[in-house]
Amino acid sequence: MIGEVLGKLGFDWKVALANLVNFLIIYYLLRNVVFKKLGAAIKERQERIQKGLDDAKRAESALVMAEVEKDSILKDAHKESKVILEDADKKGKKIVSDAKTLAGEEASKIKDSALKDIDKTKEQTRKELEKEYVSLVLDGIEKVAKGEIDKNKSQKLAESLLK
Amino acid sequence: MEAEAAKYIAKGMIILSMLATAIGEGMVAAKAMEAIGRNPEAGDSIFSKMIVGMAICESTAIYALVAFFII
Amino acid sequence: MNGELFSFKRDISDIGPSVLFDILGFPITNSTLFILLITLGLVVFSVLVFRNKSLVPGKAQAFFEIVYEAIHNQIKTITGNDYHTKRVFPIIAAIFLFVGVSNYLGLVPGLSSITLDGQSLFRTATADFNTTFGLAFGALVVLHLVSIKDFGILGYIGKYIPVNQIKEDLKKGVLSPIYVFVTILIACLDIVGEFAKAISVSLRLFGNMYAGDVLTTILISIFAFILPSFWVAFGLLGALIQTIVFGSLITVFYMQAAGPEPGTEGK
Repeated sequence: MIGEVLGKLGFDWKVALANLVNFLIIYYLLRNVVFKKLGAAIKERQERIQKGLDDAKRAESALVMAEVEKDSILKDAHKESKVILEDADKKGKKIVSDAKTLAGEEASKIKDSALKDIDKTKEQTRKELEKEYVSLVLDGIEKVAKGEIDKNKSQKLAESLLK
Repeated sequence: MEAEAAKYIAKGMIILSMLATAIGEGMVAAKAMEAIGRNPEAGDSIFSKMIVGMAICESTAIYALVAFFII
Repeated sequence: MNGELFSFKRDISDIGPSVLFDILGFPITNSTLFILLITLGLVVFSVLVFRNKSLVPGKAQAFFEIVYEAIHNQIKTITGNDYHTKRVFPIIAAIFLFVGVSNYLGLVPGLSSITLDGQSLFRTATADFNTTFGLAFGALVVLHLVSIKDFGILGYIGKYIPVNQIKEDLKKGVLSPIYVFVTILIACLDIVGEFAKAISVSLRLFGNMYAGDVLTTILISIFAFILPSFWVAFGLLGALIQTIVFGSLITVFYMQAAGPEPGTEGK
């Protein structure tokens, strides 16, 4: 009875079967080609977008980390440079004071030796002068003794001797 | 009365069943719109439920259609 | 005014498809040819779109991806979880696409005017009861197989013959025969309902599409120029809605037939 009713709607199970089989062909085509590839394409793109977002997030956090690190490094460097500067200041002052004392010592040493030298030369010249005087006096005495000396001659003699 | 004439009268009466179907579907749609207006975020969910409800209401018209063609 | 100038009288198309020729006793009808046309179009489309697949989609691929996502979302709003969506997606999406393409291709003017020996060569596949009934029947067979797989043979039979309910009814004393009778009646209704599902779902689609065809023909025979365009414009909406209704109903039937998601049974 139901077949009769459906038959009035143009139903024929052979045609229905043929159409169903044709639909199944479409279904397999869609499932094995279109949906697979479309799904894969969509999934791939989503993954790539997700990856890009993740990368961006990671880069951002890395940037923040680097900033913090930079700050701390800068702070350290400031501290270190301060210490180094203070050190250098101290060292410089010490060097200068050392140099001052050293220079003073040296100067006094040089002075001493120069004074000693001067004394020595004085002594020597005096000794040489004494020797000269002695020979001059002896010469004079010799000439006087020979009588060759008059007033003029003695004058000359004295001049020549003194020369 | 000829049999043919009675058939046409019956077909005309069957078409009247669509009146009730139209009223029923209109009520479903109206209530669904009210619900969406009250809670727009649930719009998608309500819409698909509305479609299913309307489809079930429409069954009456479908049976009328079958009868229309059978007579 | 001469009425024949502005109106074209045409015969209202038959309720059934017309047989063009036979292959091994199987009649090849114009709706079968229509489905073959869709298949051909699908093959050409697949070759054209996927020949040079790229990450940045072309226009055609982008359009199809939008359709893909829309169908996916529609199924997901009904099933409500990823497991069932993934499981049922290929067949429901194929039904969606097939019905949708067929509905819209049926609106293409002139396609049904190609005739051979006085019979039109193509008939909108969804305006043929054979196609819609075959589709709904095949889908329901698949759903019942899924149901058997999920619940086991005994569980599946138990869904329709409520043995436990009858046992409980028998304990109710004097009135127990009435309770048993009512329970068996309800069970019979359930079984009939399963067949009614296939018929009502397929008749709905067929009725809408065929009525659309008939009404267009009638409107053209009344006044051929402006009047039918409104109906065809409404047909554009109706084609989409009928597609959604058919696919959604099959999904709803699936949700009734299928078991719960594995791993969540205790909840």
